[in-house]
Amino acid sequence: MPTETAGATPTPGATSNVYGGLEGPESMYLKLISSDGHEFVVRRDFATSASPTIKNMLSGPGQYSDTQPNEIYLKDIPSHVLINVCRYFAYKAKYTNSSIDIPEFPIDTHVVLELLVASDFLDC
Amino acid sequence: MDVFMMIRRQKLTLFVDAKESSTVSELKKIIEGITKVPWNNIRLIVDSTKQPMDDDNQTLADCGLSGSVAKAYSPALLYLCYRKAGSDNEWEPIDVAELSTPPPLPEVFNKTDDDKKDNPQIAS
Repeated sequence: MPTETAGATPTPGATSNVYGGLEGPESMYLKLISSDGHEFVVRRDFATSASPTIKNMLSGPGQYSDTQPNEIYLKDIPSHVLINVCRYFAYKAKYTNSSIDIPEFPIDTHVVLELLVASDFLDC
Repeated sequence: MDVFMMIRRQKLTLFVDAKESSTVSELKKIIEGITKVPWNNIRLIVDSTKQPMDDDNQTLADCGLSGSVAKAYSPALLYLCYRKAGSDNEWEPIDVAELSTPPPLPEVFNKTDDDKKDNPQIAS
């Protein structure tokens, strides 16, 4: 569809989504909000390819207006866990189907148990 | 090479990736797309060097953000500040909210010398 996403782009002549924003069903970024109110903005494609739960949350019931902010409230996941989840999304997106050596994903021991619970919820 | 960054301000964290060869102004425009703050009111400071990224024509590699330093699972930390309203040269101070703290680990995680035979509760 040639129509641009909600007027975030300053120059009307430029192609839409050159600098991706947060609005509309085709936004480049998503906002994940932790239980303590921290907001994490990640690439939409990274999050939906890693987590079927997030993908379903986005395609669930809701209006499809151009100004729809793509925000997901994760009220069970605290920020110190969600930050690791976001790192994992980028790691998975980069190294899936990769031919180079895949480095180990570092996880701090203190976060490990809660991260396991979050990954079970997000199914990734 | 892709450069992965975590851009933080107060309670907001943006996980952004860009090419090493892209310029500071392009990165600021990506941030504008997400935050809706005009890109010339945006100031970025590299945490590892504490240097502000004030030269909009420099590339990310010039600012010390290369693919070898900024990995997907270990993104480079940048601080985001907005220009103070009504002023030309004053910027907000760096202000980043603390993340939540993990709960204390159960004793099972404490390594002891004889943890090989004396931990029946750990299923192997």
